[in-house]
Amino acid sequence: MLILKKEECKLSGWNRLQLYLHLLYCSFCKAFNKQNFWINLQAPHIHKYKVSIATDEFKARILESIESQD
Amino acid sequence: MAADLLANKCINEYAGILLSYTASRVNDTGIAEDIVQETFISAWKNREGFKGEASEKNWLFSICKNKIIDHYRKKARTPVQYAEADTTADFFDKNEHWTKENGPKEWGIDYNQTIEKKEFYSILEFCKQKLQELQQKVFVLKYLEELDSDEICKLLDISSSNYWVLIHRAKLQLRSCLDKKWINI
Repeated sequence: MLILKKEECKLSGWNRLQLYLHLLYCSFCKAFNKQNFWINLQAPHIHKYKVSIATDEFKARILESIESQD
Repeated sequence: MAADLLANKCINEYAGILLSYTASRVNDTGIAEDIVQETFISAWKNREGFKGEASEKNWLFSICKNKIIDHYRKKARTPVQYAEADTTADFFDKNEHWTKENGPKEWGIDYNQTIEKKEFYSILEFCKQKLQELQQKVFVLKYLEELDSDEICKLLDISSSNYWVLIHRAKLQLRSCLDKKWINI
């Protein structure tokens, strides 16, 4: 949980020390820490390759709704 | 007539990418289309206010992002309260330590590199969709919409402690899913 909390706010001195010491000996949490960082790096790009085709029908619907505003 | 042509040009140019952006955040094509339509309507109504400080694209994305947040805000008001079972409970033993079977192992990859493969993002999307509903919402709002915890708690009407539990479980599940579906296939 401290690994996630440090993403958002500065941990207290005690929590920072706890986390540092824990990561020295816990290989699982050490791996999780790195893998969590990596996931955060990829997440914002999730839509990069997503193919959502805006059909002509959809675009026409948008245009019609805009024209009806005036 | 010129205004119509301009609207048509904008729609042709940006409807597709706005739809891709929105669909990955709301998980429903129909809702994504509604949001994109509302984005263009809003942009059209406020077109006099567009002074060109940002690009057309950035301006539309900014409106779209707000529409997505409005969508989450409205959904949070829907009185559907249910307990989401903890599917990550098996990852830890009774002393709250990782179990040997489920504890993360080193992946041996460059953790500082952004992936440029389409297949990976399909898998990431698949893993995201496997998350429970609230976990997914919190994940999208934090990592895709880049809201902070206070904003997300207000938006979803959840407590701070609930938020941290949700984001923790979401990350555990995502990591585990990517471990099985991408790293160790």
